[in-house]
Amino acid sequence: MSWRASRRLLALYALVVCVALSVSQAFTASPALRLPLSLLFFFTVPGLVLTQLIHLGRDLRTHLALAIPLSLAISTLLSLLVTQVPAIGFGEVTSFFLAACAFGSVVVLGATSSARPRNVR
Amino acid sequence: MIRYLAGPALAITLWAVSLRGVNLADMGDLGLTARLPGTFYLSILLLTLSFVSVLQGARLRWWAVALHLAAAVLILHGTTALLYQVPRYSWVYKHIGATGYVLSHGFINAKYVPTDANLGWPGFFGLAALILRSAGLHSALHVALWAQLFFNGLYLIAVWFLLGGLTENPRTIALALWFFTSTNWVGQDYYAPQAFAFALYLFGMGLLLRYLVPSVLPRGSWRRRLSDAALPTVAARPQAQWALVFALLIFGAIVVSHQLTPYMMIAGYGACIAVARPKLLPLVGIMLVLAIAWTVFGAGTWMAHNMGQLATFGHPIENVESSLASLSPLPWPRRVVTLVPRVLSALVWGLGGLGAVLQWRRTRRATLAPILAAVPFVFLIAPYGGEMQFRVYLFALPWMAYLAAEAFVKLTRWLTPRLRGVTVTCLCLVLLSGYLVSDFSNESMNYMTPSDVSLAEYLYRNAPAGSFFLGTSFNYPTRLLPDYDQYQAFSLTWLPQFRYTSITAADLPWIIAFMRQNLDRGRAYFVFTDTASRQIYLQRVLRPGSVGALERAVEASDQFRLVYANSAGKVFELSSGAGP
Repeated sequence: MSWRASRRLLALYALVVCVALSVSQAFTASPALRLPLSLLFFFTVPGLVLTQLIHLGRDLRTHLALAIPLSLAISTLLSLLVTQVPAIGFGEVTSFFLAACAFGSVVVLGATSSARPRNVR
Repeated sequence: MIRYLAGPALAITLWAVSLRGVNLADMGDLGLTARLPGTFYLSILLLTLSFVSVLQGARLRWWAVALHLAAAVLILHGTTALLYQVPRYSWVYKHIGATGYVLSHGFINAKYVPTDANLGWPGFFGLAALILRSAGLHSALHVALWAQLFFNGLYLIAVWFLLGGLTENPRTIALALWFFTSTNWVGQDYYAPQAFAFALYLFGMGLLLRYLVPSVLPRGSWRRRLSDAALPTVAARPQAQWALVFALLIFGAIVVSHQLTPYMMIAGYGACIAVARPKLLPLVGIMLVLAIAWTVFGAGTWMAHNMGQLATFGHPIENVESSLASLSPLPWPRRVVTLVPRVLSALVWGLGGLGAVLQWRRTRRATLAPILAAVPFVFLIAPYGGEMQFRVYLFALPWMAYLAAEAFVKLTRWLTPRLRGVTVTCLCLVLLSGYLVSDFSNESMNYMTPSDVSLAEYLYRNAPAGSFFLGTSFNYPTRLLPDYDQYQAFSLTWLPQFRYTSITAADLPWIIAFMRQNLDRGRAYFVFTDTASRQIYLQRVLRPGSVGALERAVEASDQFRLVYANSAGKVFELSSGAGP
């Protein structure tokens, strides 16, 4: 699989997780579906989107490994807003986070679109 | 392919079968080690043999290594999660309570921070609460059961990432990962901020080694080292700038999550950068400013109330001695299981030291490993609640595991493949045996049941705010509900006059007076649990028979009223009268 295709696949994965978590939060209260989706989202998606948006080499394994700590770090720092600012709640932080990551995934998908001309002079 | 799949598949099948019908009641001096059947140990033997065969193969297949390591993590760190219904270790429950506090209150009221360090460094609890709220859960109780399995899986990925910055030899990396997994016995991998921060620390150190220091270390004067000309390989990489940003991002999450880990990371970064890339020293300065800023402004109220702890700094030998269990009052099986972790630690450090000697005077990046392995030992000057040597072991472990693997690969190069295979198998089995005894032999007191949780929930749900709970020891699920900050919990074994002595009915009037003294408002409760009694028995903190005598005296006293009892223990309420 080419590097471009790998990036598209990762961005698609991030987008699917964002959408699936948003839908599950809206339509079901059962943790059976929401817990695995939440874990996938908070542990992988923010970092994956970030590493796809910047240039960090072409080693897929490194990207995947870095996605986890970056996701955890970004999520931790965002959750700090809830514990330190009385006006902000968990709901607002999660909604903002989901929207930001979905937007980032769409940007990566756009940037790696095969319809885009390459090396046009 | 079948050959590499068969070993882990058979090992996991045997392990799964071995867990059926394990009797967890009244585990004795040897804990779970004596209760697990032979098939459990057979599964470990089989997995080790299969791993060694993968390691000895003409071409190392990474998927096979990953499969064996994942199976090892599952067997070593998933056994208690599958056998138990609620998390092991009584001290994990205060973290479940802290998560519950953040989950129900969101914003942390600064007035509670002085009494609870967890709320001064709330990063981990905020993240956990964010995930639980997103998942629609109201407690971390059942999630925490799986934390050890999760964190050890995460450590594998992090240590792999980190080792990639030290060596390109895949066999050394695979062996180091196996050593790391099978010697991480200190039990700092449960549902806790330190387990989370340690994973981030490993990734942060990986970023440093992979992107921020050169593969060949600079030599010569400091002036030359400070010039970019000496570091063409790093300066030319655009990823290095992003790695800097990522390192600070990860460091920021550590700073708000845990007290000790930021300083471990600063020390590691400082040592590496001073040796390998002095031009980056301002980065260490920024990290130090961030850590101090949070300690002063974020957790300042807690620090202001706990400054007295600083007085115990600077006494490394006393700090180590104070937290090592005394062997003299123990019967011989307990002496053996208390000595095994010490021998295992010495073995890991010995092998690591050998690897460090072999790295000496080389100029490649791997030379940083001995420095990084030595850095945590500096922290022995701090007492850290009597736990510092365990943290030192943990933070030195990834580097020690690498150095041990490096030493092993180098020293056995001259052996025939068959002899090398036998040697590595024996070493792995010795380390694994040490791990199993170190981690599983205290399960008699670490094992918590749903009844223990129910008893503690009764206390926190029914006692009026401000109540005082006195336990025979602290080994029951205290502080597990969100409003834990409104109660005081205390252990009889914390009182020096009772340690290693007998308590009799004659001591009860003094204990009643002590309970009344410590009660501002609410009511006072005396808590007797089997888990507390088992800890007292295992560690011989009180003379045998003391707890039973005390319980009988409390039952007979007209000052106490039994308010709750289940299979885990009893709760007595102290009358509100003037007392004896």
